[in-house]
This record gives sequence, structure tokens and C-alpha cells, in this order.
Amino acid sequence: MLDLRRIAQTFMVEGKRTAIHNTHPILKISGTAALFVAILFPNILIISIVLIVSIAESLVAGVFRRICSFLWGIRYFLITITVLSLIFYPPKRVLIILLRVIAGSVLVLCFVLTTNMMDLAQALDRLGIPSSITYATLFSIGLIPPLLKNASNSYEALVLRGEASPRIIGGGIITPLALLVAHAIERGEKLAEVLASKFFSPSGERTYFRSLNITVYGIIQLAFKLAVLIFALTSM
Amino acid sequence: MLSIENIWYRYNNNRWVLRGVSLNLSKGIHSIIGPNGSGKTTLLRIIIGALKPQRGSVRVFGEVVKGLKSTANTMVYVPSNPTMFLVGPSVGDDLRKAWSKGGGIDIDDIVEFLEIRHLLQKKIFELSEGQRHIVSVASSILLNRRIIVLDEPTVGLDREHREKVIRVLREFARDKIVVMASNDLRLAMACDTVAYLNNGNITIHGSPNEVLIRNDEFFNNDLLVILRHMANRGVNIETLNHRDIIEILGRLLCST
Repeated sequence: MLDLRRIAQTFMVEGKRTAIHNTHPILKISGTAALFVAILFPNILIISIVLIVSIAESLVAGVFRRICSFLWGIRYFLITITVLSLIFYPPKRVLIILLRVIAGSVLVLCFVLTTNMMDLAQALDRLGIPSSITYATLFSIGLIPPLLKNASNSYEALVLRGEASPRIIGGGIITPLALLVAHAIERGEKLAEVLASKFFSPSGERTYFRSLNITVYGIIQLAFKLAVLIFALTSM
Repeated sequence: MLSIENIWYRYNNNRWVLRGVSLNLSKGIHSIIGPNGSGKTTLLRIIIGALKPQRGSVRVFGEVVKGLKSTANTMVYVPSNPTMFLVGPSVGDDLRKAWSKGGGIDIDDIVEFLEIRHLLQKKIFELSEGQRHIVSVASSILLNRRIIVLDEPTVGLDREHREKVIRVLREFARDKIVVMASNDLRLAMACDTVAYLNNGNITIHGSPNEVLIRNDEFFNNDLLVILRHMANRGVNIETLNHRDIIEILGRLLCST
């Protein structure tokens, strides 16, 4: 159902620094949140605008190909959603659901692939959000790429072992999934120990080595995205 | 015969990780060494068919590898994190499952050889990293495939167990092609051939001694440099016995 190898490769780190990468994380997450709320409205025009904006940003940030690769990796999932939706809903609603999933994926991926999680932690820390919440969330997000990589490796090894099927559709996913969950738990425990030893505790004070700046682009993108949200709210 | 023919590979349109890698491997134990990030794991994943190279091809006994499906009956792959290979739940169960899909090799023989009988009742997640590597090597042999691909099989192993891994492969995988990626010099020295992968290409491929003599890049921080250093200081290294070497190394360590 899911092409884990392709999905894992989407999250491989790149050292690019574009205007979008350099946008203040709070402005970026606010803009992303605004557009995310906007796509919840069942309006094809608004969802299309969000999709176009997200694609434009991903093109500027140089991550568009990786997002396409991710979407290709979940193609069978998208097809399944479409088929199931067609059973229960009229075609127009199915189109909205599909557009929403694609726009949401592009939007979130564009944010994740262009944001340094430690920058986001720093920004949230400065806003006074308790670090126990910030770090727990961010490290959980940070664990996704290595876990996907492990899942992909595991799948390959298990296919050759004869414990999983090489077919993407209907392939034996239970064994790799069970291994992945067990491994995630083990990794989580180790991570907790490492973090405690590095004073990533609620009482620990962190030193950040990068300064975050509010850029003109950051303000413009946020203003535009808020405008899209307001447009969505007023067009109800 | 495993033939790797002019493989070019890059992830997500980034720089080329592999640039025209060619290698022919016959029965025996082969090690691919190289600095971190040189593309060793990528090459292994191309060999097993998990990654499709942009250019070039891999042939296994004359047939082109076209994905995992085409290698599922010929190869076994143990990733660098063996936890992702062991299906358990206990060590005994894991070995039995591997044997049931392979056959031909007696479980008891391998268990005795590796001295892992005391681990049979243990759950996989109760094992140390080193023990997991040992068990995964045992499982990979029990699967009885013609090609065994191992990624960093000796990470976390002490000298005794590292030697055991090599000996068990020599004993039970004599008629197979064993390919492993490793940074472990001692492991590489015990293989039949060593290929040095650097900057996306195999720069040297030959017997371990040949690679050791011809390769300045990989061994520049190891014993060879110390020996050269001693020779540069006027020590005739050919006439040294082991006590002299220990004494001189001790002095060198204290002076640096």
C-alpha cells in the first residue's frame, strides 16, 4: 500500500538555504496553520489556491520533486481513498476530499522539509511554551524520518527472508510493522536517556547557536496566507 | 557470479553517490570498505534490488536484477541494524523460521559453532547489539541462499565474536558469495577480496594485502602510518619483535 523506500527518501536531509528555509519558523508555522484551516472548508477554489501556493513555495525551496516522490509513494493509498469515497459520496465531494489530502500533504511536507526542527524549538521556547511539550513534539516528529528509513530497510530484508511479500499491493505488512513498532519503542527509550543526559529536561536551559530573523518574505507569505484564510471564512 | 556493471546512482537528484562502479564477485567472502558516506550501503541495496540505479546493472548468475522480487530466492540481506531483520520473538524461533525457509544446514551445528545455545530462549529485544549481529548472521546462513549480503556485520562485536563471524561464514557459506560492507579493518583482512569504495568509485579491488599496500587513503590513520612513522624515525621495522613494537608504540603514544 505504501512505498516505504520512496517515502523514506523524501525525508533525506538536504543542506539548501532558500528564502523559505530562512523564514522565521513561527511565521512559517502560522502560515501553514492558516492554510491548513482554509482547506478544511469544502470549497474547490480555496483548496486549489492552497495547492498552488504550496506547490509554488516547494518549487522555490527546491523540494517539489521530493514532494512528488512522496505522493507517488502513497499513490495506492490515494487510489484507495478515492475508490472508497466514490462508494459513499458524490464525485464532487470525492474531488474535494482528494484535493484536500494532496494539498494538505504538499503543505505539511513543504513546512517539514524546509524547517529545521531545532529552529522551531528555539522559536517556541522563546514564546514561553513549556519545553517538555515542545521537545516531546519535535523529537517525535524528528523520529519519523529515521523510523521510515528503518521500516524501508526492514521491509527489504524481510522480503529477501521470505517474511514479507515484494508486491506493494497486498504485501505482508504486519511483520515489518510489528518490528517497526517494537523498534520505535526501544529507540524512544534510548532517546529519552540521551535527552536527559543532555539536559533536555523541563528545567534545563538551552543554548541556541543560530539566530532567527524575521524577514520581509516571512511577513509577506504570512499576510497572504492569512488573506486566503479570511477569504475562506468569508466565502462560507 | 555476481557482476556489478557500471553502476551510477544518486538520491533525489543530488550529487552522484556511485559513479560507474564495476565489480565482479565469485564464490568467497568479499568486503567493501570505504569512508563513511562513501556509498557502501547504497551499493549493497542496489545489489539486492532495493534501489534501481540510474545507469548500469547488476547481474546475478547471468540474470539482471530487477527489484527485490527477482532476488528474493537468491539473496539474503542483513541491514546494519539487525533488529530490523530478526523476526523472533525468541532467538530459537527466529533460527527455526530461517531454517524452515532454507533448510540444508543444521541449526544445532551453527548454534554450537557460535556458542549461542544460552541465547535460544531469549527474546530478540533482550539481546545486546553484538548478540543481535551474531544471531542475524546465523539466521542469514540458515536461510541457505546463494548470496549473503551483510551490512556492517561486526559492529559491537568483540574480537572473539568477530573472528567467529568470519569462521562461521567460512565453515557454512563456503559455496556461497558473501558480500559485506564494513569499516572494520580486521574483518576486511580476513576476507578473500577487499574493494575500496571512495568518492563513488571502486579505486582498488584485490586481496587484502594488495589493498593494504596500495591504499594510502583508508589506512592513513591506522597501524600502517604508525609503522611508517617508526621507519621515518630510523627504526628498522623488519627486525622488530612484538616486545619492541609494544615498547615503541608505548613511547609514541606518550610523546603525542
